[in-house]
Amino acid sequence: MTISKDLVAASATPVILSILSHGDSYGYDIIQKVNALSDGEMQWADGMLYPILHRLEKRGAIESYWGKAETGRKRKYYRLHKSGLEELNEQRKNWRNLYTMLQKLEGGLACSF
Amino acid sequence: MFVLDHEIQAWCESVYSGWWHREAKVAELVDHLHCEIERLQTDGLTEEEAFTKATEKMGNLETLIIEHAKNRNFVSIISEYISNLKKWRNSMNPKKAAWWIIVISLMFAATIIFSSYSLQDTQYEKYSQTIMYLLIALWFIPYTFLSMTASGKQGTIKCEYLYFKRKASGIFSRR
Repeated sequence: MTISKDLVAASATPVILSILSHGDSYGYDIIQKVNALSDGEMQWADGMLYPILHRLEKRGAIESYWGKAETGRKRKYYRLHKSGLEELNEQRKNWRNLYTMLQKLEGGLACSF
Repeated sequence: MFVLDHEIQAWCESVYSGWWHREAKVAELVDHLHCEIERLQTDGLTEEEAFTKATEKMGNLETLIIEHAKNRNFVSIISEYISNLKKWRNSMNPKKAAWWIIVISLMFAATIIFSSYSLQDTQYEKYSQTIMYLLIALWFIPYTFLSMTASGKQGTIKCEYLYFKRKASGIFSRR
């Protein structure tokens, strides 16, 4: 079962920032990593990654630089910025809180309502 | 005939159609498509099949165009216009720039005369002088802009002078 479109959209930013927190990367590589990490359950339209990357770059969460691929092609790499790391920590906290809440509900705490 | 590089370039440019300075953004998508096509080709697909599959995987073109357009704000559109104007100006030789300066100057002169006449005997007549000064001040913007061609200001002014001299000598020699 693949992850729903809405959840994919909501989690895109923390996923990208998280991948970049492990090192510089480029668009295609990020997509491949997402596929591998989610066992193919997180289906992104490849092209939709770039507007998100550009938005993150614009607000200073990440920065980009040009490099060269093994084939000699121009390749744009992204690296996490300090403010991006802060944003990632904040997002992680939010997702953890959400997960804890869902776990509590699953554990039967919902009966107290 | 299917030429992969051309097809990739055309597809990526279509995502940023209407954008100026799209080269860097297009190059990023070109690299992505090449990576995916290379991977698909190792699975045994032909260039054409791999291209079709890779572009399908990129997502719906219309949606992509809309999503990318969200990143364009008013300031970036204005700066794109200005830098494109600069490009246009720098591509001109002093002769062409001089011609444009003359055309724009005549347009401003016509506007000043027209505004003075149209405001005469109206309640806005008191503003006609202010409008004239404002138009003269505004005229300096295209004049300064066009004077700074890639060949330099001196060349443009010299060209304007030579243009007038030639026209004037033509008029007088006819008489």
